[in-house]
Amino acid sequence: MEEVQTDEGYTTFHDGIKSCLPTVLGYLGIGFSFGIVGINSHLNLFEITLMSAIVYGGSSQFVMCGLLLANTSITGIVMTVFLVNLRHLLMSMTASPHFREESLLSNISIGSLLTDESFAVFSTTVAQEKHFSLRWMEGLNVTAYITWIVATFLGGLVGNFISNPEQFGLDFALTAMFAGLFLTQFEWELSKSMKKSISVVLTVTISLIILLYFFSSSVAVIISALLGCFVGGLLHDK
Amino acid sequence: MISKSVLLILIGSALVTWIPRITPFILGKMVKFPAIVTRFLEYLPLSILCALLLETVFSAKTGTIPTPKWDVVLALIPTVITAVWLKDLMKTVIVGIVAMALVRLVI
Repeated sequence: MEEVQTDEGYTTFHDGIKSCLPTVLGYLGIGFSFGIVGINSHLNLFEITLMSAIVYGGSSQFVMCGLLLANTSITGIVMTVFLVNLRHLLMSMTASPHFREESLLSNISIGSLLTDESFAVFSTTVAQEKHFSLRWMEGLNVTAYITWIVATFLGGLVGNFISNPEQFGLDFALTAMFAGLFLTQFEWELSKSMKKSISVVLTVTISLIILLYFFSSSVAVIISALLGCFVGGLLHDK
Repeated sequence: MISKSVLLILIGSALVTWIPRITPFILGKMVKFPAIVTRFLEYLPLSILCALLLETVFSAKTGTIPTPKWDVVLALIPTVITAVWLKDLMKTVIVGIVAMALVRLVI
């Protein structure tokens, strides 16, 4: 593929930081909540910050705290984390073809820092048919990563004084962020094909509710997302 | 500073999270994914965001019928209105957090 000119606002590392800003508040809210929950799960400040730095997966980290409190075995925890975070495989498969021309090291660095939120911002950019650079993606990823670690640390600092971040509605930052990101993506898809996007959303909704009865929620999310892709792909040329 | 079992858990969890994240990026350098795979994955962003959003709305336990968490549903109303109306993620998150704090205060 020839070198494509990137669009304004999607070129430099700094542009990537700017694209990340709308999600920063969400990361702060969730990271801060995680810090508090972590401390109240008898982990220390160093352990929770390290967890955010090397696991870097919001929902899985909350799950880990719950399992640690329940004295689950090491293998049990690691296997659960694997399932909770397995959805990244699908997101990486979707994002990676856009970076084929970049070096292996750059590819690994982008994959390492891919999150639900950075993937959503990236996908909206793709849906808007904007041309972006590697530096832009790095700016987006690194900003999110640093915010997450800092928020965890800050939450950990106050964790001894607050035991229940839920009373402040902080845990809802996750739902609110997913709602905003989903609606942005939905709007773009609707403008392209109303029938297809509504079919995909209905498929995911119905199948997820049914699957939640049979599987753990992380597995249900993966299967229902695949079913959504399947329906979207089948309707593709019609 | 860190207990040995926690360290083992962290390293194990980091590895099982990292490998699925980077594998497609490494494979993608070597082989081109078949067109059919790319075609289906075009709908992944919409599908997975929808699923992740709904996952936070339902309280689920294997073997029981999933029920909506009503505090989440209530707080979602102003959140969705803000998202659609202002199209600003940061304001959406602020409205959401405040709405949820109020809902929990009342309920």
